[in-house]
Amino acid sequence: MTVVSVDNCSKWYGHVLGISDITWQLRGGVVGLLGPNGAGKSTLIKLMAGLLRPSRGSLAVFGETPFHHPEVRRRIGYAPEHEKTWDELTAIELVTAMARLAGVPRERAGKAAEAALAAMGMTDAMRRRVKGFSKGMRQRTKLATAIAHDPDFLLLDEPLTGVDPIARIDIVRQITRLAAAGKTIVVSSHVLYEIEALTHEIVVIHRGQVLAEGNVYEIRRLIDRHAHRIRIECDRPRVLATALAIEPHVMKISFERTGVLIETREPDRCYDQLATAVLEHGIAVTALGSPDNNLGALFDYLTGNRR
Amino acid sequence: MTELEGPGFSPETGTTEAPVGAIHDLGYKRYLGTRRDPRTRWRVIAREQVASAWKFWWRFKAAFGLAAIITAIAGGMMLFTSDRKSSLGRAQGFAMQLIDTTLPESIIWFCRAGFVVSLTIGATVVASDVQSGAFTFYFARSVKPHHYVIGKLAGMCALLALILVAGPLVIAGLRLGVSDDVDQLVDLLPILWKTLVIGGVATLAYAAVPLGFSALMPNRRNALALWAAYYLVFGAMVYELGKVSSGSLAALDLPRAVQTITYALFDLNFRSRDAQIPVAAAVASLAGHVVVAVALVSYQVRRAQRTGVGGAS
Amino acid sequence: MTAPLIELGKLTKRYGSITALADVDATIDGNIIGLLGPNGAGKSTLLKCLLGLIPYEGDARVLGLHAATSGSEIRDRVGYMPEQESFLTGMSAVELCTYAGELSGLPRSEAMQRAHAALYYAGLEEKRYQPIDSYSTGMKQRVKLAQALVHDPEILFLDEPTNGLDPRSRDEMLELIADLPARRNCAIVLSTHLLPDVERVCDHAVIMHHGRVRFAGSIDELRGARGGDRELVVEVKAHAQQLADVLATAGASCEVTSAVTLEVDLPESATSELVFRNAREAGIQVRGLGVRRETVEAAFLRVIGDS
Repeated sequence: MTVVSVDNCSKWYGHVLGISDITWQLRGGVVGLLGPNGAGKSTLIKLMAGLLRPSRGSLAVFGETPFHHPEVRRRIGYAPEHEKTWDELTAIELVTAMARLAGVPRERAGKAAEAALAAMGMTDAMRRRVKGFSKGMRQRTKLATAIAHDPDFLLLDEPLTGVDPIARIDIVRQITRLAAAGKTIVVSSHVLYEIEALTHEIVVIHRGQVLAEGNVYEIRRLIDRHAHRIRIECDRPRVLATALAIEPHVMKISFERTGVLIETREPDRCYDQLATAVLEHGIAVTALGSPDNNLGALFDYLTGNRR
Repeated sequence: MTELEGPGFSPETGTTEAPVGAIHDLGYKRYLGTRRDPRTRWRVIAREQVASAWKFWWRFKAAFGLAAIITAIAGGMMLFTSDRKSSLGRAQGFAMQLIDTTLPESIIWFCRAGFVVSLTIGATVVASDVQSGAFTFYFARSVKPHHYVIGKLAGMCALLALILVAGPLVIAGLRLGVSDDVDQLVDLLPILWKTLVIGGVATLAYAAVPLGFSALMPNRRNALALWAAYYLVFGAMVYELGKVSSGSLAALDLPRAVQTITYALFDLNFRSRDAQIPVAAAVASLAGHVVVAVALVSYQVRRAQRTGVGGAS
Repeated sequence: MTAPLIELGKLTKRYGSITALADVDATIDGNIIGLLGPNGAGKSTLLKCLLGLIPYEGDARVLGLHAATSGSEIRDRVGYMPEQESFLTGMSAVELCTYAGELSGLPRSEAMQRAHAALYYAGLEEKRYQPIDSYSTGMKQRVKLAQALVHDPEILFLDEPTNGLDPRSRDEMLELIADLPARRNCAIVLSTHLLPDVERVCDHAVIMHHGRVRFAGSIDELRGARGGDRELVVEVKAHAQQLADVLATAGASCEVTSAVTLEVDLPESATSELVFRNAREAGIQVRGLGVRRETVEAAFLRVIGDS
């Protein structure tokens, strides 16, 4: 069953554009939602969480529009980006209250809240007031709120901001565990290596529209058809450069402190020719890689060079 | 980047001659000059307070305009009411001429203009800084809490003096100007120092007390509301109570306390319908208000210094 | 030889029964130093002590000055970019930075000139006259950096400088930071939870845990000696397992870590040429090659785990 189905959906606030004519399907698993600030990620998330209604088109979660629809919203867990909350409550009180609001019966709410906080590593701190929490602890409380009522669909907006490296590993493990248990999870983040740690499926939103979607490696392969930089550190960079300079797909060669950077129009061919040149001239390679070979570069390429 | 210069080969004359060119290094240069003594930081803060007040018309210029109008009206009254008697009696028992009571009576009007300034600026200073995170900004530098307190107080005093001292001084000057003859002028000279005293007292009160309220709440609007409620509502309440019971209670109403001291300086009696406030109570009230206000601000600011920098991680 | 940047001798800070800093002994020096540690490790307390804002026991010296007695002077020579918002309402960037310079002791005209220079450096040339209240998150972060630079500090403390920035802005901010020691002759102490950022720009690191310094030294020292040029990580276009099998027969010991990556331990007297040759023969395209190094994240967890 399709978890989220977006059909020609647009949302604007007066003159301000949120998203513009998006058509997209989410069947399950963990998906990373990426995009520059102001691109429409938060709008899309709020639409999925049922906090907003589309201006045009439709957006359905589990087959129904989530806006003003309590039954569907009970199956959704939303952890927003901001941290404003009722500071005077203790963590356990807060999460219990939110769980009850989400429909968990009174008798079970307390236990569910406790379990959720324990899963987020907050067992020691759960009886303290939220007021005195550090940023990382607030994040974890927020996440506990989102999972306490055992939703099938999780929307996590910047879940790892301000979280220290140790807690991060815990939370990533929790998210992975939830995904393995069959929950559908959308994670939005600016920190691309966090997304890399969680999933290979991404959706890139830019200027209010879906710019790219699917498996990261596949998208990268598509980009392979466009210009690509390769850096080689070796003992004789100029010999290598000379061997490649004659190739028509090489657009630019620049020499760096310890190696050479080659910009090529056809990376696939270039890598092969590189290997040939290395073996032919007996060049000792200490490092080979592409600064364009990661999610950050992919994102940059997608959002930077677009017209 | 380096400086490049060179004599040019001049094609016209065929010799290496005059033409020169240069490319200058726009790069960064370390600051090697002296740094001002930290003890002068309060001046920077005071100047900034005044500058930011002048920036928007509604912050200070409006109240200043109001003070100008008050001055003009008072001046007009003095010029056109030559022999009329006032309802204020002198301590010695005879009635006064309007021309002489205009100045002391105007003080309470200037206080109202001062109150406007406290609404637009004074009662939100510290709360605003708390809300915007300004204390992190201040105390990560060589600014100490007392620099901030003194600086803000000095800045507000400078602004209020423009209303509460300058205005009355102009009226005093006018009074001297319309004297019948030189002898009367000399007799009247004391009103100058009296004006300065009451102007100074009022300035200090209207600068410090709103600052104190702005330090009571971490939220701008709440601080403002609390100050307005205290000044207007609480003030009116104690004044009415003071009319029927002990006059000292009415001294808690700030403008009336200022008025009491004014009357004492100018040797005037209260009207029978006014609350009869003893001078000592008025002085004690103002002094007490100022001390408590300054203490509040100092306390809040010191607390901000300890917690502000470094964040909550 | 000038004094090291920061020297700590038996530095202790207690808040009632809680010990925030316990007998810390360390010398911190370098160009860009990462200050790392879980929440509650004592980083912000350390900062407050170094700036002379709170009393402490023991010895803390910044640029050779005692923090307890010369707090003001230290703060004149040190810049701080806070994590939270720290502006004054109703000011433009230029006004704020000028004010900042004056509050650090610069004469007004000098402060004004340097304010503009700092804003140019931070990339806010066009928007510097507009009120800060109208700025986006990225621009606000840049103003925070500029106001820390105005008074020409010798050390700059940056607290989560890439907070809330989208990937492109994060990149630009990191570039700015990396450039600072050379362009502005100041050292940087970077406090952050994002360890890949540390890996990218820092040359030294200080790791704190439970109020103690667990590590203070260069990044190279942290990661341990380079694992020898024979421990490699290889990335291929596809068929990592196949390459592993082929290399195994050539005497290398391999471990496949994903569909496209594998770790290779070369046999004695072999070089990367072995990998290229075998890949070529097996028809596999090599896309990446490099010496295996512990990531900063792994090293960090190791240090914390050991303590």
